Amino acid sequence: MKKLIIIFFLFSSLVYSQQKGTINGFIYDASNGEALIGANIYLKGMNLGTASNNSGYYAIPNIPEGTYELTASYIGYETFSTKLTIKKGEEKRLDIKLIPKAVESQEVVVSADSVGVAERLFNKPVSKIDLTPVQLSKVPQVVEADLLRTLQSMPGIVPVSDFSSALYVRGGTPDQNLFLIDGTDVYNPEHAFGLFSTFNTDAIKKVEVYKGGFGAEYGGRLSAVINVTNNDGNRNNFEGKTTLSLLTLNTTLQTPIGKIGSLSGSLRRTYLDQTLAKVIDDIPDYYFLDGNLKAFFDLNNKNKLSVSFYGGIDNLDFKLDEDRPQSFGFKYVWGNQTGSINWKTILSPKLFGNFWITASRFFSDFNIDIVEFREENRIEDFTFKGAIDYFYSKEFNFKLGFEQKNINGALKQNFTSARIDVSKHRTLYSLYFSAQWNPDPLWNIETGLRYDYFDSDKNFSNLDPRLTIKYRLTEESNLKFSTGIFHQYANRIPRLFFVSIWVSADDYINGSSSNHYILSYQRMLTKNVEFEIESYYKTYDNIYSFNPNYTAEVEPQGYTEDNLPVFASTKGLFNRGDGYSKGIEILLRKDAGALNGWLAYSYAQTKYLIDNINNNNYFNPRHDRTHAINFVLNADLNNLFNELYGRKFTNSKKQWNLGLNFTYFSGQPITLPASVYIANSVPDWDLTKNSLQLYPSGINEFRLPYYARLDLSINYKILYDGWSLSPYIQVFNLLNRKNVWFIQYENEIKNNTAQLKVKNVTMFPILPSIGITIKF
Amino acid sequence: MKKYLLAIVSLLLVACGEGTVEIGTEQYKPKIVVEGYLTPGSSIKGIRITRNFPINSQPNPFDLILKNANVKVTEIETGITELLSYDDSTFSFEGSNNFVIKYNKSYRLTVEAEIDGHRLEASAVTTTPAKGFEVIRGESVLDSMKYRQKETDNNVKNFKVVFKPSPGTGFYAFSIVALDASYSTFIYDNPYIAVDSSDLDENFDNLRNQLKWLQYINSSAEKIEYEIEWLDTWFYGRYRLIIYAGDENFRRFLLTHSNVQEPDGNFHEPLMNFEGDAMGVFGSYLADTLYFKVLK
Repeated sequence: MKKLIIIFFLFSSLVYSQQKGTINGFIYDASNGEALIGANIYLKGMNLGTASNNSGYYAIPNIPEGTYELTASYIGYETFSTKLTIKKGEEKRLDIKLIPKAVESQEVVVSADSVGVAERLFNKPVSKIDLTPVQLSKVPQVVEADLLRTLQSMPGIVPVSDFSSALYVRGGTPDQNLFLIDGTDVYNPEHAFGLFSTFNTDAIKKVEVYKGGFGAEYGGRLSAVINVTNNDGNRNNFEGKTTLSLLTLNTTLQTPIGKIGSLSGSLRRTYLDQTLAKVIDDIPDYYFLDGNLKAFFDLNNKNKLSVSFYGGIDNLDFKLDEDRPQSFGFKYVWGNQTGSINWKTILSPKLFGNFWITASRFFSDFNIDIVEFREENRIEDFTFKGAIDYFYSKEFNFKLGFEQKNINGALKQNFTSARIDVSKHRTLYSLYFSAQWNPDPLWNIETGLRYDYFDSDKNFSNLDPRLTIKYRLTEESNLKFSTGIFHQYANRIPRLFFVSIWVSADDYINGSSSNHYILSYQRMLTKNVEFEIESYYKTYDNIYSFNPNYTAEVEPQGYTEDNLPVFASTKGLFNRGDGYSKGIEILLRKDAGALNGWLAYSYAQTKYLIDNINNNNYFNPRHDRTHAINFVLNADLNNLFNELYGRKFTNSKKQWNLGLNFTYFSGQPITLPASVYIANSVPDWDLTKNSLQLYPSGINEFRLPYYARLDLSINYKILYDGWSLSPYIQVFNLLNRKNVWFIQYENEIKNNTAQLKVKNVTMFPILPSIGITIKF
Repeated sequence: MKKYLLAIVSLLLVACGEGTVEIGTEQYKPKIVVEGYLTPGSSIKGIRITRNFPINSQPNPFDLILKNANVKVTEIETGITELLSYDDSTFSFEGSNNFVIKYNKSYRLTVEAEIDGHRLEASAVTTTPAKGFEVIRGESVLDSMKYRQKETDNNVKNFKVVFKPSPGTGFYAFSIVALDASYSTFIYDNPYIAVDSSDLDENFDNLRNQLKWLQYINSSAEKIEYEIEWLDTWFYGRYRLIIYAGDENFRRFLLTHSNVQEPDGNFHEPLMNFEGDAMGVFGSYLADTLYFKVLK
């Protein structure tokens, strides 16, 4: 009987929906034809709204016959509004072109339409951050704008040091973050020994960051998703941008391809190896080069195709003493290549399909000739995936997707006393389904289920349920709750200044899992100031921490002809453990106006319990930062007083912009030596200063002093005949605070006493830099 | 307005200055330090029992010796226990000549001592290597050689040790000590790196004493060859090479005790095989000593 009722209900709903109309289409930037992701579309008076998906597509089904006012709004664009009439059963195609705001400072403005802002807040998934290239470019950083370093200024995301762009999201480690560029996985998204990210900010159209509680369409990582979509290319005009910083020369060009599509390409290269390194010996012979190319085609009214490539390479040739033939030196080359073909299709106004073929390759080659050391590190991934959005009714939306990921990994190391030879093929099959239910305008419930089957030395299969509930408290505020189970089948071996090595779940490493519980309150304080408070609790089961004593604990699987060991498994490489993270994040964000930016505070605590470490007691990992304060401010100095006195903004041909970025973090935990003892490495050695050995305290029992930094940027922009010229100054760590990185020790035995000298090693001092950007 | 000014001044004050780390003695815990090895075929000698000390103290190393410690070694299979006595001339504990260590047997060391009013105790077990380790002198290339001497094919020639491993022992440590090391015998004209006298002051012990090892080698192999790299010889003159066929405790201690600081400055625990309040090493080995000479 119950089944009959359900079937009857579904059938009735189908018939009912057929009597009503549908509006669907794409949202574009009128100036360049780029599809806009996450734009808000709203039917006034109907309480019916939606956001454009990752392809810029939207559909509002189940609209009763009548005349409506439809509005569409998006960051930095004039709000679009139109009256339209929907007839019974009509499927109305409405592609909307939004016009960018004319005033520079309003490029980052969220629609002034308060309904749009409130809707955007409600529609926004839990724990999601959206950033535009304009926002990225305005946060002062080391030498030049950088995506990952900007994300380190957001609440819940912390770095471990100035020397790393790695992201620790809500207590998770960097290998728990899924990086996607145009739908393709990126495995080691770092240039220059981790100092900069591989993402060229000039090529980026949109960045979506999910700090937790992400939907069933994402999987394979425990903590976060960083989804980068590159520019499709300008559909209307040829345009270009060139930036020269102290580090790189960067050019981005976009052009229409007749009426059928567009092309966008970026190229960036460091140039110190060709300039300063030629005259200053201490500057190593190093460069990185990366490029993006994306072609976009409108096959017809319903089908779109894009082809995207990324390639990057880092090259370091180092020799300690150029005058000595056998001097210590090494050659280190690494890089990423990714490619994707994406087909988007409107199967029917209510059915939108998105299909990808993607390939990703990471490689690194490291040679130290003097000790005959060779390392080859590879990971390749070839993926088919697809997703169908079904805009079924006003109450229900569905999404169904699949993914098949074929991964090849190889690590070879040759050195004088051993060999490492690991070569593995893995396959991950995933299926997911999610349903969004809007029982009334106050509630939105999204459920999802993801199934993973990971084919490895032994097989892993997991079902990951996801749930998000949103409740509209008032027109301006809402409450959200999200929970889910997340699985991961890969870990990486972190290596400071050297690229990481990925290893997959196998006989010795189980899949890791994490449960997320997130509660969020959001409120629109004024029409362009939003307030958000989020608390989370996150558990970890079977997480793997790299074993620092691995040299003594790995075991060989065979021998060479010379009877030297050959290592071919992950046994002994990691220590298994569990843990949890909890925290609360408060964010005040203003994206609009002459003064914009955000102020964020976060409290966090992460504890790990790792087998055989710290006497099997809980400890805080190094990235645990109890308190964090981030303050990012951008000021359009031309319009500052206009805003303060409520006057109309002016669009001057000479514009000044000021950027500030203040960061405060509690000191990070560190293990320091608690005592000294005397013992020689081998029995026949005499007592020397090398006989003094350090023994650590409990793991991460100490805390370093707090970390604080203030960065500044000043940008002057001259507009002339469609061109713009923007010289800029950036100062990283303006007040030259000496933030402690770690402690160094020097032993000494003098006058029959054992002594230990302690020295603080600090991070980046004040780093001023200049550059210029030309747009045409 | 005052509120904003106060906020800006606070922000500026926070973002300047210098963080410092003071290491106090709160985390210090007294422990027994053991540095001792058993050698099959010999009586027990040279078991050093000392104590650890806090980071900022500057003790006389001889004051660290726990002369009154109660130190025993028990052969696990037979239960026979030897009480060790302290010898002032070697600053270490030793057993009687009647208690001879056997090949391929397990021994437990137990230590009890009082430190800072606390009664501490610890124990560790070592299994001695089996008989069989032997340097094949006829196939080894030792004796003397000019620094980076070249062969007829113009390749650089190396000193080489060939040895038969001990069955079941996969770990071999090579201690290379320059016996004639001095400022005058240092090889300044080396092809690797320029070293001046201040570098030599700083690194003299590191350059004189070199340590290399092989681990997990095929212990059932007929013979193993090991070449001494020229990077391990920084002085002209005589060298002493001691090859240790070490047990698991020796291996784990040697590989981890001095590598407790990671590249990012953080410390981690070394691998030591003690139960109770001790650190250091209680291991066993077979050893052979060889000599070679580097000529100008």
